[in-house]
Amino acid sequence: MARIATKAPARKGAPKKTPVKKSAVPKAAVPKAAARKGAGQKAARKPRAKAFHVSLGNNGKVIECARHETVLHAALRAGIDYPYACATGNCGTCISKLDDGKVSMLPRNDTSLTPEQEEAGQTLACRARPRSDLAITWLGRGRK
Amino acid sequence: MASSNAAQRRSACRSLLRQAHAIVDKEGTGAAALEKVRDRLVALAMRPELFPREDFPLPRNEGCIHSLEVEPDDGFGLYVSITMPGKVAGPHNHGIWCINAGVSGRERHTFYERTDNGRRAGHGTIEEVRSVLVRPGTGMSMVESDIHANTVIGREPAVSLMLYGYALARFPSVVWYNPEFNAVRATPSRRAGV
Repeated sequence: MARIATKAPARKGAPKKTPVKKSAVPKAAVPKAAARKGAGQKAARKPRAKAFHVSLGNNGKVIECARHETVLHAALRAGIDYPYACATGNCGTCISKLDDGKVSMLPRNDTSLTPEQEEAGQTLACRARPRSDLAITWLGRGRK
Repeated sequence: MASSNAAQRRSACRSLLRQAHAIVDKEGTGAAALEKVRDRLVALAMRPELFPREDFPLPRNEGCIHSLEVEPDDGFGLYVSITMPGKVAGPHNHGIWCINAGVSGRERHTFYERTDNGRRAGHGTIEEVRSVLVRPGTGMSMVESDIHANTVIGREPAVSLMLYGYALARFPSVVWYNPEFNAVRATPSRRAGV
């Protein structure tokens, strides 16, 4: 499948850059003084979770989804028969109701999710990457 | 408000459609005939003054399509496509022939062949066979069963003309391939009752 080859220029409405995960920094790169308890706020902050929990309203299952992964990808990886077709933000087949939580959206076509649908709390599972634990319900049924 | 080029653009687009019909009516919709149509579409796309930004605004998100000329019934559909850097479309066919020509920016079209026998519902494997970079002065054409994926290259929006054998509103089922999961999914046909 074609992959995203370039970064989108900074534009209003464009997805924000994903910050580097704390877990990606090797332990040896953290100065001992900073690692000591009480050495500073940064050292005291909990490391960011590697993955979030996504509750699927359609079947009650809970799956894990990494920050860099889309909800659709995580669902397919978990063997869930999530409805979809293009998987790249073109067709809108994976349209879902975001019942709870926050997502960051990958590039998509304007027609795949209208402003009214967004206003109604709908999202595209193939474009949505979790920024918190999520509760989501798919609204359509794909065709094989 | 439409630019002063709107009348000129309409005339040029209708001329293109007449040329396309003349070729397709005589030679069919095989690869050789579509390449002839492609060359006409590339010539039209090489007139960027006909497709100014004020008439064809950028997408709200990362991709949009503007109609140029849409023929009634089962006629052709001619459109302007604008895709922003980062936008991709996974491997798919259209179920109808398709031609693209670059107005500005660059977009890579990668073509695939299906490698399984298609007997298992929802399952399919594909293999990359070639790619074409569509930019000003170039284009690509595909017959109805061809599979392609597209990706914007560089930091400029890719603006291209798209000519389809049917209007988008009357499209047949589009088949999408997901190589990571060896999966195939189809969108519903818009031709119910046609």
